[in-house]
Amino acid sequence: MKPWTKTIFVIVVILQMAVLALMAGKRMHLLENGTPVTLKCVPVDPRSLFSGDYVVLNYDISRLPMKLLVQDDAVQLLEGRKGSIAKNDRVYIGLELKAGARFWHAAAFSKNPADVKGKFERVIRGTVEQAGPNCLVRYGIESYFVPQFQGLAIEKEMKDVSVEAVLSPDGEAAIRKLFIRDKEVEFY
Amino acid sequence: MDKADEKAYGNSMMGKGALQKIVNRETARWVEAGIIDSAQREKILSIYADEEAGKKKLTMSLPAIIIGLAAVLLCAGIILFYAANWRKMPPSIKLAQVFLLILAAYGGAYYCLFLRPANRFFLGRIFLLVGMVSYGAGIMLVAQIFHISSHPTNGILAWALGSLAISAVTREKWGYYLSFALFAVWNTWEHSVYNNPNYIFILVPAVLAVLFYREKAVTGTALSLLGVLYWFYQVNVHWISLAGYDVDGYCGALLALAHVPLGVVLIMAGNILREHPVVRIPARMALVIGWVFTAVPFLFLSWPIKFKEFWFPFLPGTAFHSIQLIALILCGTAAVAVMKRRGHEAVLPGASVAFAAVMMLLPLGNVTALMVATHLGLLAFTGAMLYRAYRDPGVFIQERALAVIFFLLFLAMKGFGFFALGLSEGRFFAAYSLGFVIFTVVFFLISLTAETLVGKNGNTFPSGLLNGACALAGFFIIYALSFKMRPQTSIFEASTSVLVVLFMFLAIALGLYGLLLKISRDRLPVILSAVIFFMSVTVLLISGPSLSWMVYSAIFNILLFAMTGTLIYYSTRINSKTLLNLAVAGFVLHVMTRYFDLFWDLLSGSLLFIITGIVGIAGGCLLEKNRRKLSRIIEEGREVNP
Repeated sequence: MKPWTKTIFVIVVILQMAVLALMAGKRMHLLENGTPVTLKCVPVDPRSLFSGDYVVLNYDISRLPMKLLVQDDAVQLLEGRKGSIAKNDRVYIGLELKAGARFWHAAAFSKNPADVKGKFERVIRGTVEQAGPNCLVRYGIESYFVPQFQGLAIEKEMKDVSVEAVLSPDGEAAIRKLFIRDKEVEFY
Repeated sequence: MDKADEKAYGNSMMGKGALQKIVNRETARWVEAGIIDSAQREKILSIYADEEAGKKKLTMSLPAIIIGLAAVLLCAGIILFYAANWRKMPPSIKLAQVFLLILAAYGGAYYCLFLRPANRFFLGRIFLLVGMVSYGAGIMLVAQIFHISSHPTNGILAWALGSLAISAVTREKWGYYLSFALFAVWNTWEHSVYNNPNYIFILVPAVLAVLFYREKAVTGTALSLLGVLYWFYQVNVHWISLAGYDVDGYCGALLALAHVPLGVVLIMAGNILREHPVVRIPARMALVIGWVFTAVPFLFLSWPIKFKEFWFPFLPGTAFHSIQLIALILCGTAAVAVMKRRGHEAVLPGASVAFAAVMMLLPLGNVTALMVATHLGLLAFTGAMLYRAYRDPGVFIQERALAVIFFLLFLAMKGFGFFALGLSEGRFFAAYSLGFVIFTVVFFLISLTAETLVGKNGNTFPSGLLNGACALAGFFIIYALSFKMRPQTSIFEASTSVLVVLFMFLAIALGLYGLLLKISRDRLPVILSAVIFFMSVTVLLISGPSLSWMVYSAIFNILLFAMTGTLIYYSTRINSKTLLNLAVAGFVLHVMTRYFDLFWDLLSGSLLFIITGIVGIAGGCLLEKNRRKLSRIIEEGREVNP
């Protein structure tokens, strides 16, 4: 074995720990410091290969009608087609809260963050999963892990589900709380 | 004694300890008998003593087994404890434990591998693998704790990279396999869910091939080869999907052609490395896959496909596949040059690359050009494969098997193809079916030619299998033709491409007949096949709406009898009981079919069966008597002329 092997071994282990620490730390920071929004959602119940049971959350803002797309004529001209949204495009959605309402809803979206930042109080970042008249957008907050074998039971109870998510300045989202009939649900 | 022999020996005979006792006893007797002297006996015994000592070195100690079992129990207990209590723990405690688990596993690995490697190396490897798995589990658990679901493939990638890095540092072979599996999951997920062509995946098999090679991991190097090929298809499929419906056919055709030079590159690698101690298995795999690749255009392009455009390369949307084909042709040419320089047979690989290059330049949108080029290539390739595989007695066994498989595959594929085309275009049923009879005769002649040329060097050739397959194919297609059929259209009303290919086959058949009559010592099979060939051609040329189905039926029934008669006669000439039995079975099938055709409507059900039973018993006895007589002749012929 070469003399530097031990050092490299230790470095690789530290790097692996750093990856985990970064994943956890980034998310903890976001949960602590992010801007909260409450989103209306509808759950379904598949099963994750690696993570036990979880409920999949679809939000009101998961389907975005193309009429909400903000795009100036120059961009459309350059890209050669109207509404040039394709699968895997990153989009930024401006959220609005109507007077007296509890849930935030999508008011406009664009591939260019400058189109919505500053114009809306909250901006969430998503990735287009399916382009079309109603774009299907994923925000990375579609899974909520629950105790094993409880996913289906919880889903049956979920007639009125909402989520409190937090947003980073660049629109990244994380789930902070899950509500059923406006009551926070905790699984431990 | 290599591993396979050792295993077989151990399984079939006795353990090494028992063998040593026998050797000990027998050598003492040999010394007494004066066969060997004492010094020689000592030398013989020392060989077996060394093997026993080596075996003992590999034996695992009892404490190690106990430690292993204890570790399993400990792990099971920990898992059960966490399963029961995990949900009750706050995230910070969960995280701390994940980190602790990883650190403990890697710490154990460090201690055993670096500080006490002499007697704890095996345990260290186990700790290392536990560490890798813990790291992956840690990624998944962090995602679960914080409900992270955006782009889950990133987690798999991070796990794969971590496992690869730690495995590379410690040269842990099983870690390489783990990371390879993880990279494969990551890649497949990226490609199938996110439509990511994942060009960089090529780095995975490339890097792992080197690492596996360093550890002399034969299976790993073979997996790396498969990884590269998987990537090739993944990228190509992605570009075909980008091309869109209008041009994906052209891209597919260019991809089919690209298989040929790529196959030649694989053949080159396989030939050069086939005796290499580490990569001999992937090399042999490359050789087999390479030959299969060279046959791809014949499998996929030798059909009357109608394209809108004449020339394919660099049509809008085909740039990737065009450039790829050109690049691979250049690589294939270089591979041929390398093979030639190293003294490997390079004529057929060279011709294959040339074929791909010519095909690229041909107007393949013209059906006639496509059909003529691919069928000429198919016939030349089949004949050349057979000839080169059986010419040299030392040729790789898999190449011989492939030559036979290609022959049978092309015959079956074209048989089904012609038959299906005939059924779909019922008015050309006779034409397509007879076309296949002519194709079969040409294949038979190719087999005979290869056999004659190979036989000149005194080498054996699987003529029984190949000729039997041709006879079987011919029999069944003529049998299908012997039934009532709807009015047929003259072959001269068929498309130009069909006529051109038909006359090309006739010309090739005549050429091969001329050649075989000149070079073959046994002209009988040539002449017998010529009878069937010329009868088929005649019927094909005269077929048309003016002929009643009864005329066709009469002709094909005569042809069928002529064929079975020919085969029975020929079986006695070559002393083949198998061929005789097959021919008799065909004859019985034919007679039975015609019998029921004729009498089904004429006689009542019971009467038909009674008469059939009587005729069947009488006919069967007569037939069996004659079959036995012929079998005896064949056996006697074998005894006289073994």
